[in-house]
Amino acid sequence: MPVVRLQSVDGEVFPVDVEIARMSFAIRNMLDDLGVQDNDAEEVIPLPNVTGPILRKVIEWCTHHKDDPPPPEEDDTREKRTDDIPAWDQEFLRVDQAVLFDIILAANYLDIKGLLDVTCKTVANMIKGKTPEEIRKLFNIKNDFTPAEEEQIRKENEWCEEK
Amino acid sequence: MIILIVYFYQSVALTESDQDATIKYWECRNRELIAEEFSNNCTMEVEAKLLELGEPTGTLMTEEKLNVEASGKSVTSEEPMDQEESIKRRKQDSNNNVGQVVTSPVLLPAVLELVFADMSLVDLHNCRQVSKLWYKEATRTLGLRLKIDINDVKSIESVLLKLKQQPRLRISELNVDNINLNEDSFQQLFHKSHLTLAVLRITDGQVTLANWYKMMRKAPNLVVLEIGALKDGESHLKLFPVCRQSTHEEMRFVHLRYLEFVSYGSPSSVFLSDVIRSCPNLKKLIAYNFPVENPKNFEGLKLPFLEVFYVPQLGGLGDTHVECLSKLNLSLRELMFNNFESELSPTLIRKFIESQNDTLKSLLLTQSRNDQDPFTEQIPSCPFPFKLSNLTYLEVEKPFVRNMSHVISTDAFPDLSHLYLRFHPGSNWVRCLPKNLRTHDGVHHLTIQWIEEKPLVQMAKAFPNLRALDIMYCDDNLLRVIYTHLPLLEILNVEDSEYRRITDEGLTGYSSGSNDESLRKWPYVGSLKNLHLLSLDFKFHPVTEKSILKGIVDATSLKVLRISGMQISSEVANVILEKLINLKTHCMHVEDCPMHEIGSDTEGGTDEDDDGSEASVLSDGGSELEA
Repeated sequence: MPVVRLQSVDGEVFPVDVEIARMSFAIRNMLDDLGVQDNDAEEVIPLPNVTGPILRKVIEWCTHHKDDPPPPEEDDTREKRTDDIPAWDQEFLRVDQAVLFDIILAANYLDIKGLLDVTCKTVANMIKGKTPEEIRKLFNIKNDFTPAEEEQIRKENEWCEEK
Repeated sequence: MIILIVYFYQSVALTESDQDATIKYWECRNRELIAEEFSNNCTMEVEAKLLELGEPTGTLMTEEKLNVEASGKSVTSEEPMDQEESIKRRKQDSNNNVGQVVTSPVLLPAVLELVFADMSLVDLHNCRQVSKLWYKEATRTLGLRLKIDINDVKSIESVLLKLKQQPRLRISELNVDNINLNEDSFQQLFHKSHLTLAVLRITDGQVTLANWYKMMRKAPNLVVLEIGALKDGESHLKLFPVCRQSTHEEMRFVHLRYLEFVSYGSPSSVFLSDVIRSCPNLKKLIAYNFPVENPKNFEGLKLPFLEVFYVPQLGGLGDTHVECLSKLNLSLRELMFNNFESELSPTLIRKFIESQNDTLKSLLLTQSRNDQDPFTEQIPSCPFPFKLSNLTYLEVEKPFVRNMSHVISTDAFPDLSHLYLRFHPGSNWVRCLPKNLRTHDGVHHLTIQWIEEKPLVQMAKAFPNLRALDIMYCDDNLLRVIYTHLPLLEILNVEDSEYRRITDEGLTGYSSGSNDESLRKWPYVGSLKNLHLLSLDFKFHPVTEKSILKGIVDATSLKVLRISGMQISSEVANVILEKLINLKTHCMHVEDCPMHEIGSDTEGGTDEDDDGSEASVLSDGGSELEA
């Protein structure tokens, strides 16, 4: 199996099967643009935004999902819910929020759609049922509204309360 | 290695400029698609309601608004645009981040877009309040949610096609005329709209119980659910409970705030206890009917947020119904009961009504009538007398009013401002009116379906501060009582009927055939010097247009005039407009110009702002007449 070598920002180098590396659209484009051949095993691809531990997680996820079929067009048999995250992924993403966020950043940067989807779904589940203040606290987001603006938005939202 | 990186960024730059060209192409294409949209029989629009309601007024949201409009445009685009826009946004994000370290992905628009994509409406609204960035992104997501009206199979198919072409779109509101459509496509639609569906209205139709459950399982985040006469074969559908397929546990629709359903007949009736267990957070419940149940089923059940409870078509309210409801410890703001059984214990229902004393503002007690055979009607149990210290609106059917002093009582209803007496032709007024009826200073709005002259004089005396009056079966004699005994009236809505006529004499005060001012025999509309809203609805016998002119020409305070059931020539209309300088809104059928109107209802409405209930009279009347 041909291999590419991915280098994290802290200098760690990971040899990865090309097929797995190509799950990242960023890497796939890079390889295609450069015309890298399968036998260029010595080529090192630097990933300046990803640390070693996170890159390891990302590679682990890609390896597990390398044989996933493309998502089916019509899927009427299954009941779809926000918590329909596969059990393996749920276990895989049982990590600190900081690590989860780093994985999202990496998935976004490397353009790995499946990983980005499942991590964003995890974040959506964390938000479910929380008040705005609880969400801010959870994600350490600054409230940059003035009290008047806050009041205005609350009024706009009354729709789903008052109906 | 350095060369590699340079190459990488160059390739990004190249694709971006290519994308710009592509986007321009798709934008041109959009315009064609929008044009096509009009010929399409399915109404598919961006969640206009939400955006309207969320219409930002402050300066803060101007930019956001533009963004929403921009994303609204992409609604009509097709897949390539869709994907490319996402990619572009993601690349912009990473470019923006060059030189600065973004430690939190929840500050990246592209990530937020994915996080918000399938979020329930309620959660999304909470997200809008987190920060300016979140407001902007969540509002953009709302812009991708569609409100869809479905009338036929063709419209389902075109919606499905659009959803396929534009994977970022979701459905938030679904209004279905009749569900006897292709069930397969319908199921697909539900599958596509799964978590985002907030509003579902189905007028009527046939659906099997299994398919109903299948649909509801895919709509766990509903906020509003309105179900008409939905049937499975011959019987009405048992709407609740819905069980999860895998675990068989009963689903709870925790976001559901507004539920309205029609259901009759056992064994498929919808049991109220099932509804309450399934929808514990309801604010408004309109249950057309619900069967008798063992009160034990209600042990431990609660509807802590319920404010409005209407039961408009109950077969008959009996002791067991009331016992069940008493177990819920409700705190209602509005309550409506229809059809009391004659065996219902007056003490029991009185106790239940009075238990709502702290919160109840509006109470409607009605009884369906059998017009064909009014004499066999059973006399329902009567809950009066009772006291409600916060009640402002009371609507009550004649059979419950055995003694008017129980209704018109400052002691029982100190806050009452609007009284609606549902008396019908033939109702015996004399027997329920005591000779020494007390007065109620608070009531300033009275609605009466049917009354005679003498009782109307008594009513006028009973409400010294009456400012608004509606009478459905009105004639000249009643009008004269109004002119004489209620000279300070500000709002007057009258209708004629088949046997009771309003004539030229009643409006003008002249005896018929006379034009001489000195011969005016009776008071007339112009005697009501404070009148600012007049609505004349001629359902059977229109008057002459000259009498309208003569009657109202001195009513100089008139701001709103509505005339329906007759035509006014433009000549007369112009004279009216000239003479009544205060007139801001009128609504009359002028020749060659149906429903000639100036001003607007809202303008008229704001004039009434000093009094909320008057404003509502205005808007109600308006929608009725303009419909």
